[in-house]
Amino acid sequence: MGPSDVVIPVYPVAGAPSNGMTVADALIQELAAALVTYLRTQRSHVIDLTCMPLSGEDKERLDAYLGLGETSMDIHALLRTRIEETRYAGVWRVRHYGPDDTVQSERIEVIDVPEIARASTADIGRSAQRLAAVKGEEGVWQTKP
Amino acid sequence: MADETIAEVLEKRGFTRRAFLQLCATVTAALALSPADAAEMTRRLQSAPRPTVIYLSYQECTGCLESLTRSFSPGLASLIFNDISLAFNDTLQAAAGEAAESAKDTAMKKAWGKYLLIVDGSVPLPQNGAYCTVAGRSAISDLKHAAGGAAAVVAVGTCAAFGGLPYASPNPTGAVPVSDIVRDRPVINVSGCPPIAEVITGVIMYYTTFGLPALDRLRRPTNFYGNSIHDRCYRRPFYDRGLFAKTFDDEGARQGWCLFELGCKGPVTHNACPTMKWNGGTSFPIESGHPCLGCSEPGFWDKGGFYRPLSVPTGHWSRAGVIGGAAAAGAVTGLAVAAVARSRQDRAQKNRQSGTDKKNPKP
Ligand code: SF4
Ligand code: SF4
Repeated sequence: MGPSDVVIPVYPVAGAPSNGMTVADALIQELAAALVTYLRTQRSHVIDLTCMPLSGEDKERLDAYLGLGETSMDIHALLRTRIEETRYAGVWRVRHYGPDDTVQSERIEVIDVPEIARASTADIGRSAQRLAAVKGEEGVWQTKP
Repeated sequence: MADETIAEVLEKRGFTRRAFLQLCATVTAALALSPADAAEMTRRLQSAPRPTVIYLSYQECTGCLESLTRSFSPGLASLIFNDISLAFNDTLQAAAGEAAESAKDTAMKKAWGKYLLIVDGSVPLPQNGAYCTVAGRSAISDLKHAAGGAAAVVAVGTCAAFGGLPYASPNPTGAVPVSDIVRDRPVINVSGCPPIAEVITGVIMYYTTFGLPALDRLRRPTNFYGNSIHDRCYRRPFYDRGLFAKTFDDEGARQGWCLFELGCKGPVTHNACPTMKWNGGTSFPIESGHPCLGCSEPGFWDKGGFYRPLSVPTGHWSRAGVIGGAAAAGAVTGLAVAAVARSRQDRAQKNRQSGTDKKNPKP
């Protein structure tokens, strides 16, 4: 990985003249760089917004910039997870909700499909076993000895 | 099974790997890890054995355990704590009397030398520790024994970390903090009266993955205690503009102005309340209109009064925090706040690189 492939997170400097740049603008620049890097190197990038104290205005701006794309997914596992593609393919918003519907983690991921959406090999292996067992019980799908 | 991993625990309960990823995402968010460290934590947790936690209580009010188990159910904090790591806790278990004591011995023997010992409550020294005994044994000898088999000790709550309420003047039982007794094991202080549940579980998870976190001079993990309340308080713009509530029901209070003049100890108190918040992220005391009491700092009970402004010289709080705060000019912009947020990630990263193997490193 060459240095030019590293996405450098944006560090706004306190007290510096902002030139009207908001946190949302800065994050968009970071995402743009991350997309280019992803194209070249398949390196994914994550921005964790959970502990970033964005103002309401910043959040609105970010929402307006990113918009909503074609794809959305819901995961019901330990927590509920909502995955939404933004209007930029490859830029996803992933939010994990606690039992009381509070956001436990909120991030923007730059990747083709967020990792959490994929079925893991281990889980697929267990599914294969389980399904074989069900079929075995029903006697429909006995494999020959 | 001693070497079961966290992923396996979840799998046994019928969850897929997605549940494990959800757990990792929320824990790394709470720890404010950088993306690279978050990925590394997920990778390591994959194979790390589930932690064994032995939880002992001495002079305490059970508020810390309440914070942990009642935070929001069936939330992640309780999942990590109850289902994944807890091997012994006398308050939560059904067994009593000798059965309980033997359960404790068994749990300790099984993981001797490896378990994480959580202690809440302070320990009284005089009269051979007679002011606090459990099963006929003094807290001090019980603690010394349990610490002997611990890989590290986490002093949960201000009582265990700094003495807390029992230690408050005139300290009738001669109470001392855990670190006065345990000297040959790393001690991590997770102070607060009580501490935030997610901070307690965050420390357990961090320890499981990376080992000892970097600590400040009071042995608190800098991931959570690196910033003052004031650094990250959403009322800070009012402070910077000199807009203060003078009473609890004046116009300023209604407008949500700064609570400094009502005694807020935010400028000298280090804790994660403004970002992690309480009750599953609902709010924190200042958001509910009450000044910070300084509950995560040593001796906060005896520091001149909860409602006396820091600017009134009582000689109890260091002036540095107050003056530093007042000197910060100009309104805090969103940019500055973002810089603080990022610097927290930076620090978390540095901690991981420098602080993992050292014993109670000093900043
Ligand atoms: S003094 Fe207290 S209320 Fe005011 S800005 Fe600081 S922490 Fe917030
Ligand atoms: S706001 Fe202050 S007193 Fe209140 S819980 Fe947080 S650190 Fe403790």
